[in-house]
Amino acid sequence: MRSEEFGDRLYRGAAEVAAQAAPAAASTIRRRGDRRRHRAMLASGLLAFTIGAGSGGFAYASFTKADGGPAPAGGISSSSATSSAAGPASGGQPSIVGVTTAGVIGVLNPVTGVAMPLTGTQDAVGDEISVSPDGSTVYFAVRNGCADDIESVPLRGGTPRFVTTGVLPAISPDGGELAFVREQVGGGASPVSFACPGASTGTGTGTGAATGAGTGVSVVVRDLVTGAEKTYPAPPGQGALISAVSHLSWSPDGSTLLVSSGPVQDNEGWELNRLNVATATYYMPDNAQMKTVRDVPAATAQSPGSYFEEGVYLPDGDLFVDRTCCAGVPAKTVSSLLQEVSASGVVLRQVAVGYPDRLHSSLDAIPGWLLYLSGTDLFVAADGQPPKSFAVGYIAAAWVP
Amino acid sequence: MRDPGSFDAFYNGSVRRLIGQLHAMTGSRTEAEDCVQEAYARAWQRWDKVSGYGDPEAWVRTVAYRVSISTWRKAASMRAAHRRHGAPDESAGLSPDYVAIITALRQVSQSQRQAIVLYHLVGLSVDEIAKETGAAAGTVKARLSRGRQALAPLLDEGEVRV
Repeated sequence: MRSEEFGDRLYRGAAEVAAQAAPAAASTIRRRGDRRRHRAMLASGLLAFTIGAGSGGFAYASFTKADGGPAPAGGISSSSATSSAAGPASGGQPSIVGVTTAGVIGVLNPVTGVAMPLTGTQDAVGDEISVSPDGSTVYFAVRNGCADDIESVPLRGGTPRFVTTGVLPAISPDGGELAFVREQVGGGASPVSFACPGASTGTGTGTGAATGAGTGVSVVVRDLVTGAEKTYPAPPGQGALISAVSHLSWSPDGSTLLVSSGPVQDNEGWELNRLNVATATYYMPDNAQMKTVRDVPAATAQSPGSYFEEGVYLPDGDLFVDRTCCAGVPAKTVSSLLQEVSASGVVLRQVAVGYPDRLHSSLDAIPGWLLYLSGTDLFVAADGQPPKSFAVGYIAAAWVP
Repeated sequence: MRDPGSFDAFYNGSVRRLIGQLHAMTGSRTEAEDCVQEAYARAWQRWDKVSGYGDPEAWVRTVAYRVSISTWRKAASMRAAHRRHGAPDESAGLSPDYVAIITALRQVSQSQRQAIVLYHLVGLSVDEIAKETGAAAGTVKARLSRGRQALAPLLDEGEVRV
């Protein structure tokens, strides 16, 4: 095909797409931009308030809480509290860190559910936030220009520090390593390079050459002392396609990552995969050859078409999962169940019935406590007890150990 | 001071064209519309600056492209779209020639695809592509050359020649 002919066909096809497109009205786009701008100004104001009002640069800028109901993350009051963010718990409930729908990192008071902004960050993205096992440092992802960076900040407040380029940070049980997901742009061993105006100048190095040509997704484990990185491919998808990764969770002994992935191309391919980080081996529920050693659950054992959309390790090695139904085309999600299951998928306890339209469950578990999102509502559950709605307006949350 | 009138005129005059271009880069109409509109929202957010750029359309195209390669966003929007509508029929209403080209483009690397679309569809020169993508001119030439070589067997009509 000659160049002119190729260009002509491409041009005519793109014109067909353009003609059939139904973009929103300009006023709608402006309102969307105004909301982003408002959030940015709001976060800047919160940062100024925090710096100005706090003794030692740290104080509550309270998010209002409805009487008797969960604390919303959106509204801000001018009142301030004096207790520590990670202060005395209610009935032993630990503190929680969360990312609000406005992209603000907050620490939720365990008694009131009121959130205190931890940084001036306004573009935090989901859907994972992680706290070091000693409870001192919070790791989170932010959109920086056109890239996604992982940053850390002391739980007691301070200036966020760039850690690396990537998303979905998950700190290891010993606090020495950080697992995350990094997208690789372009082919070969080229490092990530973002040319977007105003983007981060993060190095993007260390992506390795694991994924070959084209954009790829890698699971990376970074030594937080030396900065050395081990790069693993994303879980294999269907055919030549690579699964998206939506959540990472370390096993209690730090030997394994539970990688939640899917979908691939259509509403299929959701699964939990176990990645042995020492041997770089994936164990997948549909790999018959690995059946005897896979120890990875498949939700289809419960009900045909069901899948585990997301899972995290419980402190005893069992799993806390979000079981959804049903995979396939056309997509028709009819149920979402929060469950504790064994490593092989046997249901141990049904924790709750979730909303089927939520985007991300943001599961987390520490000894005696579970939390999850249903929609943007944050629920917590004490050991074996029914969950209670604790706060609203979040896209990610995690316990402070 | 942001001028809604100038933004609306810019948006109405360029949004469909950019959706067509992003579709060629991403292969998905839903994703193209989503990313382009997100990029315009960001443009309005800082319209006092963006409107002063020499080529605001290039700024929006670059941001939309970067939005499109965000893995997390893609995964979340894909899930939401599937739940709402099921898997969309991306080729409905399009000519077979164009569907074949898009299918072939999806099989070359993202950087090669971007360079090919910017050169053959948007009509940029190698130097202009280098400026927009932040790559060296030699890199752009290599991406174009290797992209054409990769496309040739996929289009099954011999070489794509310049």
